[in-house]
Amino acid sequence: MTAATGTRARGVARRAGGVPGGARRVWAVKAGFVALLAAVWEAAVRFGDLGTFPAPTELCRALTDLVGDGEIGGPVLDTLTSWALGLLVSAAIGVPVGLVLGVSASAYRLCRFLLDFLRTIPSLALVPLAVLLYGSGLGSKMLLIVFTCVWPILLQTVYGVRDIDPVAAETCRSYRIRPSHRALFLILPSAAGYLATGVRIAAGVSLLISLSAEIIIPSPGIGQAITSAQLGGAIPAMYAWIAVAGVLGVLINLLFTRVERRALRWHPSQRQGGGR
Amino acid sequence: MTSSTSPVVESALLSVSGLAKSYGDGASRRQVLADVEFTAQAGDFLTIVGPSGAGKTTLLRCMSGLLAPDAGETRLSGAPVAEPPADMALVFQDYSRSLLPWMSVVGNVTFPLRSRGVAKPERRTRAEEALAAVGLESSARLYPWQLSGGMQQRVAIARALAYGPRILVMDEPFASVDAQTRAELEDLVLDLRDRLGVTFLLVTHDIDEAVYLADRVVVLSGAPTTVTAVVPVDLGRKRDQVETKARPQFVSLRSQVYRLIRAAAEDKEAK
Repeated sequence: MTAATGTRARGVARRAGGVPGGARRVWAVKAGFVALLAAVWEAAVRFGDLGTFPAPTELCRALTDLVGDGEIGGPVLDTLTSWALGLLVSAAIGVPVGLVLGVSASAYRLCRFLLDFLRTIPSLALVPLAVLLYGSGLGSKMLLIVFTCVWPILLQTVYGVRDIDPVAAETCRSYRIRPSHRALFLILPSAAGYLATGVRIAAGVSLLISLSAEIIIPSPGIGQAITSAQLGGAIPAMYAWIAVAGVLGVLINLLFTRVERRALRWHPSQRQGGGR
Repeated sequence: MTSSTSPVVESALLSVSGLAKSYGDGASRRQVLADVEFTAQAGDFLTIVGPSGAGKTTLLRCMSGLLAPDAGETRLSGAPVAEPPADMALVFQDYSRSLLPWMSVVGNVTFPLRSRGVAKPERRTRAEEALAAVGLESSARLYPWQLSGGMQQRVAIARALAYGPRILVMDEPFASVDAQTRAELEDLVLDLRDRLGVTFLLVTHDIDEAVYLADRVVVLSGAPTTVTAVVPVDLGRKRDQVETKARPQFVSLRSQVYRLIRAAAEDKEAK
């Protein structure tokens, strides 16, 4: 299911990037649409009654204040650190375990129940345990992130390994390809498309759990900044922090889509021209 | 195995004897190969034809050590084949899936050599020679999926040549390309046999192709499969798509093979 979503997303990205002249016009239309929405929003705040909801101009001012006095640096760094480390550890566990479970059907059968059980536990249910073990520091966030992000990576790796083309596998066997070369040049590239999707999903989830943990525990980061702004009555600042989280999410997704597209140039979903 | 003591088999490059294989068990057990037996001499061009469902691919997989037969054995240069032998290279029908899309053309050709531990300079020369032999020296840096079907199959053939085998085994290699390309590739393999002296074993369902390419045609029966006949093709080494196929000898050989296949199929149905 997740793999299908990934493929569709790649297809859309490719269509948009296909025609350079057309792309510029599409961007202009998109920017115009956003500007229009912002204008309507501004008008709604000025002439209507939206409570504490800030106008875009107020939001921008709050954001420039955050950036201006350097307040933005610490929390963003905290969140990004836990995001990156959590994702890294998840991949370091998920990929090798996924490779083993993908190659060995009996290992997969053995672990399947445990796997299904563990991944249905909402990771926020582990917040008290995390606090008990690691207090309010990075360790707690890492535990929650890894516990959530390891599953998409692991399962996508399993699916990827299973999807190895039997003809390619047979070819490697007939040419007596060494086991290490099979793993490196057959299994890993075959699984790469699925793996990239898994990591991209996990990257989004990692940010989500990071923020949630920071709000609930609370632990230093953007999540905590949102809570403190709200408690301190600095409502525009609260919205500004929420916007920062949103921008971070968009940037992360953009980064991973880019990396995926470069790394999987050979993949049928990424091929641009030349294919016959 | 008693037959392997006969002098003919002794000197053969490849000898297949008493090969049997069935799938499933109990009531759903289906015997595909009953007792397949033939030999190939060094430098031979052998083609294998049979009615559809004759287990041609099963035979090939058993012969090449990819699948363990229930009985019988294959010997290559006298040694029994238990796993894919280093002296044999396979070319599959489905070139687009047999070539690895994440490797360039030259990467695909050198991959088996790299895995075997051949040094880089030698890998490079062997790949260049092999690609030149199939007429693809200028496409080395491209990816397989940037090439046409016929060119992709040429890459697969180059990979097999670079591997340096004594025998090249091809499973319906030209079944997925158009007629024009097919004729070109047929002439390419004949040319390779002439220039490089490699032994060829080619499985096909196309009787014309089987006769056109072969020194000898191995005709299979329907499943459970045995060898119905081995037809020698005395059309000389030089073949031509137009002239050879117009010769009365070619036409009569073609009819002979056709009749053998039809008779074998009817025979099996009668049983």
